[in-house]
Amino acid sequence: MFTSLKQTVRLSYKLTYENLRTVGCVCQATGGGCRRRMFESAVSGLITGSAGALIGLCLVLTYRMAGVINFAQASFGTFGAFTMLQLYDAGWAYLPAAVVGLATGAVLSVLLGLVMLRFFPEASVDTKTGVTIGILVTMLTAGLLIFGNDPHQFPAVLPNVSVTIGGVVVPGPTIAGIALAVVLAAGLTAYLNGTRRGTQIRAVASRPVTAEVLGIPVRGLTIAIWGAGGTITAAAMLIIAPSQGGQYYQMSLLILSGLAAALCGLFRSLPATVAGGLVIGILGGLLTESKSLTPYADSVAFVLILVILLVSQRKETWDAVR
Amino acid sequence: MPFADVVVAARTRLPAILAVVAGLIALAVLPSLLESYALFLATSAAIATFVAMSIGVVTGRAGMMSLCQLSFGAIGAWAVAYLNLHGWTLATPLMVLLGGLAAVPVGIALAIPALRVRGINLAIITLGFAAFAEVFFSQNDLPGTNEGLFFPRSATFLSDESFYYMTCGLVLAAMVVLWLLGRRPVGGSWLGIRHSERAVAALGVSVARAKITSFALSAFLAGMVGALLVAQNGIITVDSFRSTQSLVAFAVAIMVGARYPEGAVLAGIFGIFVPEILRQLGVNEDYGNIVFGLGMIGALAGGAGMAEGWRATFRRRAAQREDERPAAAAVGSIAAPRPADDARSALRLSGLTVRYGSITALDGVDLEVAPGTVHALIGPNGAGKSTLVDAVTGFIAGYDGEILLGDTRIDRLSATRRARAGIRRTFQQGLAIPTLTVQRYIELSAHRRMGRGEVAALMAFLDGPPPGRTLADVDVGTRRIVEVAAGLAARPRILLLDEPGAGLASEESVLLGARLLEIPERFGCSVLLIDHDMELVKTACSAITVLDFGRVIASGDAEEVFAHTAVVDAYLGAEEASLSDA
Amino acid sequence: MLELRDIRVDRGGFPIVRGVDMQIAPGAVTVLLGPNGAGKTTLLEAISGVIPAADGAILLDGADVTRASRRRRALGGLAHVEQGRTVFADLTVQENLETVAEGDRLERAFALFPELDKRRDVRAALCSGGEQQMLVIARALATDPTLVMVDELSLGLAPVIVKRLMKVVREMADAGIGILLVEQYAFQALAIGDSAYVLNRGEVAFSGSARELHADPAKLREAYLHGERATSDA
Repeated sequence: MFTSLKQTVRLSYKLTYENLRTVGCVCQATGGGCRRRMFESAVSGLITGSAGALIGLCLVLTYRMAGVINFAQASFGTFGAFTMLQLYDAGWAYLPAAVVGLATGAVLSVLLGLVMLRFFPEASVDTKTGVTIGILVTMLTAGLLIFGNDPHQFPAVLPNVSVTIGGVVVPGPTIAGIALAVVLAAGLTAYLNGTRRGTQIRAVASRPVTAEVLGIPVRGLTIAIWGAGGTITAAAMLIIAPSQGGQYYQMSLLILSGLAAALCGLFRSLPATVAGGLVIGILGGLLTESKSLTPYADSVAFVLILVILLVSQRKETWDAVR
Repeated sequence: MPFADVVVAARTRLPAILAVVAGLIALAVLPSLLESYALFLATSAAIATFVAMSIGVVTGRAGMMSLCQLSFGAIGAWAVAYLNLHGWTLATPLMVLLGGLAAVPVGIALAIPALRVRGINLAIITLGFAAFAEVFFSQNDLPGTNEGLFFPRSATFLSDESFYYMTCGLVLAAMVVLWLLGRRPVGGSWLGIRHSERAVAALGVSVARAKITSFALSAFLAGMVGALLVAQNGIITVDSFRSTQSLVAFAVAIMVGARYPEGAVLAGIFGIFVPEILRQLGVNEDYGNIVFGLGMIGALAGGAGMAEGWRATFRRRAAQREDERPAAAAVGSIAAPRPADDARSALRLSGLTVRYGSITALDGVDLEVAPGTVHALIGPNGAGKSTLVDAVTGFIAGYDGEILLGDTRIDRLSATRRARAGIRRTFQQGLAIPTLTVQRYIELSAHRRMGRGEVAALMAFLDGPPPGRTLADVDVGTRRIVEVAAGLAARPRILLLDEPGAGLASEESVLLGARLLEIPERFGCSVLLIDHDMELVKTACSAITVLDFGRVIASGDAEEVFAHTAVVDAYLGAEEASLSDA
Repeated sequence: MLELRDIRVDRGGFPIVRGVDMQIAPGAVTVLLGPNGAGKTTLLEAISGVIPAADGAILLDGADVTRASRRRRALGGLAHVEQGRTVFADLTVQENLETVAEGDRLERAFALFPELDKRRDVRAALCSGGEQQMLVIARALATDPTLVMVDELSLGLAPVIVKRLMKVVREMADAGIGILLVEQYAFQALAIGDSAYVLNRGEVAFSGSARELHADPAKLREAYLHGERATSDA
């Protein structure tokens, strides 16, 4: 028995190492073609990466504003995307159906925001995040009951657009995803730093009680952020759904990519979150080069989360959480 | 534990004992009443209690959010299948235990990030691990699945009834073990880290050990689940171990208050019978999960799961009855004081300097506490008194200067080690662990078993609550008194008290002052007292040091210090200050 | 004008402040003194709504705001300068003020504190203690309040800066704003005060004219250092 255990370990190690080495060797041998294939893989991961970046943006916004990490964020967006699909399949045109889908995501987020303000105003981050886990359980169940977990065919965003870079075709949805993530990060950063409302939002994020005592409309601004988060996440899901196979459960679990991206930004910096999300996507895409590692492409996020958390929390802080 | 204590404990817990006995009888009789499918469900419910118990240990008791318990189950199932495939078939209970053990190394591996990472960050890591494990096990089927093998149980436990009894037996054994652990320091340390890691370290208890043991035990219990499922069904697929299952189990555990055995039993019953009832009603069984999700949110809003709520009500009523008719408690005597040695001073600070960026919180502070004395540290708000206590007790990472306990430098020691070396402290915000009873808390601090009589004597000395009282049922001011008692029980060389009188009425603080005077003789330790109550300071202390803006501005006995104009100015502002100077 | 009637405030189920009656008049400085742990900060937090009052009534210009939201109380003209210089750390000095005002009101705040004008674009976290204290006072003033409560502005500040700030507080009162000033440094506060309360163990131990208390330091020292109730001669 012990021999076979050792053999199993050795075999797994060999497989992983061989796969990566093969990619490297083959690249050296075939030169340009291999590089292009690597580039293709990297680009293929960008769509997941952009979804992670967008979800990450929403997570950072709601964390800074409402002091909670919303584990159910991706499921809200997924629910919105599936609502859109129901309407689309019933004959609606793309745009109106998409608007309803985005609105659904927004409404779900706003409802959670109201619950947080009404029932958990002074609760700890842990308790509030626990609530979102309860919401996630409810959303997963509700979604699976209503929509099932079979793959659904979603209409693609920008299906007829594509760009060719270095011999590799970047499809429309990928462009849409990256563009949305980058534009939102830049736009939100500009808004938060350059406008009076944005300054008020940053003030609330810094000291919510003091802001309220000064007369700043904290409730309204918080709800607005929740709504924005829900809309953005629903948009992310609409973009990624066609390439992901459109399965409710898997899409809801994209929250992990979002969490990893948000951690890259240390739950503070919007540009770093987007950058982190895209990089994670690229790494995941590269992993698909190796057949044995392909299923773990999404788990790159997990390893990265582990590393970032361990490195960023090096000093003992005694009860202080972030 | 003396017999009298057992009798007292038994009498107060009579209803609970009766309930347990009734439950055991019901369990024993069940198989003869149920037909095979219902018995299967009952066995499944018993298996599900293991999941709840595992979450009860790591989240309910130790306060660490772990969302991957079912992944440990998968590891346990995998291990048992592997052993079976390679011919290592032992008696079924042993196989189950081995399955549990297989998950322990992974549990410990996950505890390592938990040492540095808290709260939601740990939740993120465990969820990530659950997703990773889901992919891993979907790629690597359980050994034997491809061959379509079926792993039978060992002969003794082949029949459904015997397997049912075996499972119930294991559940009961686990509950007893958890109960026993709860009464020992390790159980107290788990409840402690849930409340405050700082408080645990200040008691000289290792936070790292508490975290690792709770993760390891919870992994063991969860691993057994997988092994039990293989034993029950002969073979199992990975569907039972998806991330959703871990999340649902987490939600149910929070909802029922899984840290207590009755909560775990409820979780098992809910987890199995709610879907079953829905199925019988023709409704999709997954609707049950929605109930669990919402139930968990309700529990979080109310601040307690079901079992926790019941116990709290029951406890408070018992406490009320006890207050109205106090039982004649056998008050023993306080144990011997710490033996004296001939160290020059109990505590000596030499040039202590603490800087936070550009702000100097403490600037070259020299302070010496003579052995067997009560020494006061006073100064206006923001003078640096709490910073000094934090630095001395090891809660500030980098400082300049020397700190000597007795005659030994302690600058290299961590906070936990300093507490064990003989420096104890209380916290300004009061960090006594509310989920513990007075008895357990003081024992945790003293690192030894104490008789109820001794604890009662200590409480009588400080006018504290009875030993059996849970600290959550006592007001904040009284909890601070118990915190002081816990420090004394450890027989330290020096005890640092950070505003122990805050929240006490004037008569109570007068009593505290009188008691403080007696501490050096009774317990053999010195005291460094921070307080604003000048009356308390004057009556209790033989030496005073005054801090202002991080520097020592006066030192000596009460008469000298209060005659110092600088001291008066520091507190009240210079008398001559007027508008014309502006 | 702010009026408190029989206010009780609890923390952790235990009453910190009990049976407090108080009037804060506009155009005057009301000083609130007392030893540490007396409940002064708790009382201020109950007035601005940071924590709820367990019992009693709070009337702001005649309107009952006991159950009103924090924002409503702020919009009713109440400003609370909290203990500990609660600046928005990541925002610049200018942005801190922009959260509550713009245009003329903003410039008026800078006119009052020229030191802040020099540091407009500096992050609040990097400002000195004195500058931060000026910033939180300016920020409160920028909301155009009728009543300002200041909690221990002197904490950790050099005496010369404290003098400067006390002067500003007096000027605010002279301009018609009602001031409730909580201070540890009793004499400096009493020097600019009109009326005074002393809080001890959650209850009012003295209420009367500030001048009286200022003129009799022995009485005040007794109240502080000995924790005994000082009787008012008023």
